[in-house]
Amino acid sequence: MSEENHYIPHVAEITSITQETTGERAVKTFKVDFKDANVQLKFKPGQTCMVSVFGKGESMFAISQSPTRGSLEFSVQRVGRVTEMLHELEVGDEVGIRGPYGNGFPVEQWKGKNIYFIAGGIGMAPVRAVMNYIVDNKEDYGELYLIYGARTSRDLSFKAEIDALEQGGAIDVRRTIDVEEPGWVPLDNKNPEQSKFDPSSRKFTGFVATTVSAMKCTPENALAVICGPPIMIKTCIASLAKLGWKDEQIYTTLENKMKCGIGKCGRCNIGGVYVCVDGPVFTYAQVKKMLNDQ
Amino acid sequence: MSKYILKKEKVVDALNALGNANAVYIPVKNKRGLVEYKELGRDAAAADAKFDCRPDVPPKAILFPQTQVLFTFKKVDGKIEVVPTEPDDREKIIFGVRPCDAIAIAVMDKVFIGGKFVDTYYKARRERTAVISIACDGPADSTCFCPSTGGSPAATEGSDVLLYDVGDSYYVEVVSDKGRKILESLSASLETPSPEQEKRKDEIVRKAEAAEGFTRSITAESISKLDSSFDSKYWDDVSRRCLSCGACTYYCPTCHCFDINDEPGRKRVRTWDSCQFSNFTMHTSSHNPRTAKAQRLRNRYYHKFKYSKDNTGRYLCVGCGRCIALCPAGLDITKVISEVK
Ligand SMILES: Cc1cc2nc3c(=O)[nH]c(=O)nc-3n(C[C@H](O)[C@H](O)[C@H](O)COP(=O)(O)OP(=O)(O)OC[C@H]3O[C@@H](n4cnc5c(N)ncnc54)[C@H](O)[C@@H]3O)c2cc1C
Ligand code: SF4
Ligand code: SF4
Ligand code: FES
Repeated sequence: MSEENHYIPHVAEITSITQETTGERAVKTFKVDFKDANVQLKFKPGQTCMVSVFGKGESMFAISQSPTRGSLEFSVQRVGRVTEMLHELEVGDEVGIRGPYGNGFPVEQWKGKNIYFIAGGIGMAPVRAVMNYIVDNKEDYGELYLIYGARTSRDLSFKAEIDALEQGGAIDVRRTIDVEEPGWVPLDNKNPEQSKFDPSSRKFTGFVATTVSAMKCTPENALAVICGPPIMIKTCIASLAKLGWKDEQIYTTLENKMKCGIGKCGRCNIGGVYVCVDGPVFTYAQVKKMLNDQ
Repeated sequence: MSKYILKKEKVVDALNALGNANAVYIPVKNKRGLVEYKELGRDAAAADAKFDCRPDVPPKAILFPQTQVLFTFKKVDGKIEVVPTEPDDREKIIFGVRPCDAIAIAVMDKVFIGGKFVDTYYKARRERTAVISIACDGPADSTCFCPSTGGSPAATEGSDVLLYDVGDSYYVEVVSDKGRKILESLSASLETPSPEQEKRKDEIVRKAEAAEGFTRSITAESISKLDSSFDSKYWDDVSRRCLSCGACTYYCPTCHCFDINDEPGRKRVRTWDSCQFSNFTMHTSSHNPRTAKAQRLRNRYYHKFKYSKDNTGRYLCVGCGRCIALCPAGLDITKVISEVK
C-alpha cells in the first residue's frame, strides 16, 4: 500500500524487560524490536507511540529512550487493563506499535542552553529520552541538571543508568523522595527557600518543587523540562516563577485520554488544541493560553 | 455547466440502472418511521425512495460506518499476524442527498483526509463515492438553518450532481467530472430543459440565495461571543436540561468522535462515540477534564463553531437542524448560540 494505514500496528518482539520499580504501581521498561526488518521508526525525544497488547487494547506511552541509543523502549507503570497485561508479558512475546506521534521536544532550539530536567514518578520516562539525547550531544548544550523525585527511594526508576551519568560527570543529579529515609537530607516543604541546601548533597527528602526552590535553579540562559503528575508540574512552575523564570523557558508535557493519536477521535483536545498532534510538549506560555478545559 | 432534465417517472428506472454497476443508497422510511439511507436492492426498493424531506438520519455511516473492524489478527506458529480489513472498494452513489449533508461530506473530508494523517478506511470509501443531491425549495424542515453556516438550500459543494425539483421533473446540473460520468450512463433517460424549467430552477436558486423562508438562524456576531464566554456560568444554565444522551452527536452529519477497542474474535474495532458521554475523556487516574454536563455540552458547541473554524477555517456545523429536531430535552443549537453570554 502506498499510503500508511495509521491504525495498523507493526508487530514487535520484546527483547528485554527491566523491572524498574516494584509494588502495586510497578514500572517496567520494555525494549522492543520490529519483526519486519523493513519497519523503522524515526522519532524525536518526547514523541509517543500506541502500544498494543493484541486482544486487550492499546495505550499511549512516551518513547523512553533517546533515538541516539539505537533501541525503542517504553517504560510502563502498571495502572489498569492494558498496562497490567503488558506487565505480564515476557521476553520473546509480541506487542503492536504504531507511531511515532506528537511533536517531541524542540531540542534544536535548545542549543547552547543550560537545561534543568525536572521529573516526578513515571514522568521520568519522557525526560529520560530527552536527557539521554542531550547528553549524547553534550557539546551542543550548556550545563545539565536533573532533579528527580519519587515517593520513596525504591520508586526511583533507571537507577543504574542515572548513577552512571552522574558518576561520569555528564549531569548534576538531585534525587528527592516524599518520605524520610536514613541518609536523605530533609528539606522544609513549608519554607523551601529557607531550607539549608548543601550543594554537595545529592539526596533529599521533600517535594520536587521544594528542591527546585532550595537549589535556586537560575534562569539565565536556561530552560526547564518538567514532567510528572499535574500537581508536581504546577508546584515546580510556581517555584521557578519565584526564581525569576519566564513562562517561555519552561517546557512540560500534557496527558489526556487518547484513542487515535492522529487528531481524529476527538478525545484529547484542550479547547482547540489536540494534545496528540499539537503536543504533548508545550511551553508553559502555551499552556497558559489554553482554555480552562482540563 | 451541462444541464439536463430527468422526468420523475423515469427516476425508478434510472436508480435501478445505476444500481447495476454501483451500490446506490437512497433515503427510505425505516421500521421506526425515520427516513434514513439504505442500499438499493439490499434493504430498499427504488420505488420507496423518499425525496420530499430532509432525511432524519444523515448519510454519514456510508463513509464512516458506525462499527468498523480495523483489523483482525491471527497466530501462525505462535506468532502474531495482523490482517488489515480490506477497504470497501465498491463504487457507491448516494442519491437524493440534501445540500447540507453534501457540504457535511466536504467537512468530513477535511477531518479524515485533510491534514497530516489520512484515514485509510474513510478515504477508500470516499474515493469511490459519488453524491447526487437535491436542492431544497426553501427550508426542508422548520429546524433548518443552513444559510447561517455558509450553506444554502441550493449549494453545490460536496455534490457531484445537483437536482432541482421543477414539478414533474428534476432539472439536472452537473457539478463534477465524477457526476458527468454517472450521467453519461443515464443519457438515454435525460432530456433538454425547456425555458419554463430553466425559470423554475432559477427561482429555486433565487430563493436559496435570499435564504427565503428560514425561521432559525445564528449570526456571526453571536458566534464571535464564544471568544469570551468559555468560563461563563451560561453553560451551567443551558446544560441543565441536557440528558447527555448523545443523540445530537449520533444524528449529526459532521460529528465524528470515535472509540477503538479490541473485541472477542481477535479484532480491533472502531465505533462511533460521543463527547457527551461522561467517561469519554476520563483518564486512567479517574481525573476527568470534562466531568460536568456543562463542560461536555460546551465542548460540542465550541468544537462546532470555534475550534473547527480556528483550526480548519470552517464550521463543524452545516445547519441541518437534526440535533434540534431529535433532542429529547428540546435543546436548540441556534438558540443556545444566539443567547451566549
Ligand atoms: C501522551 C501520553 C504519554 C504517556 N506516557 C506514558 C509513559 O511513558 N508511561 C506510562 O506508564 N504511562 C504513560 N501514559 C499513560 C498511559 O497511557 C496510561 O496509563 C494507560 O493508557 C493506562 O492504560 P490501562 O489500560 O492500563 O488503563 P485503563 O484505564 O484500565 O484502560 C485504558 C483503556 O483500556 C480499555 N479498557 C479498560 N477497561 C476496559 C473494560 N472493562 N472493557 C473494555 N475496555 C477497557 C479502554 O479502552 C481504555 O481506554 C501516557 C499517556 C499519554 C496520553
Ligand atoms: S438545512 Fe438547508 S440544505 Fe439542509 S435540508 Fe434544510 S434547507 Fe435543505
Ligand atoms: S450540530 Fe446540529 S445543526 Fe449542526 S450539523 Fe450537527 S446536527 Fe446539524
Ligand atoms: S487521541 Fe484522538 S484526537 Fe487526539
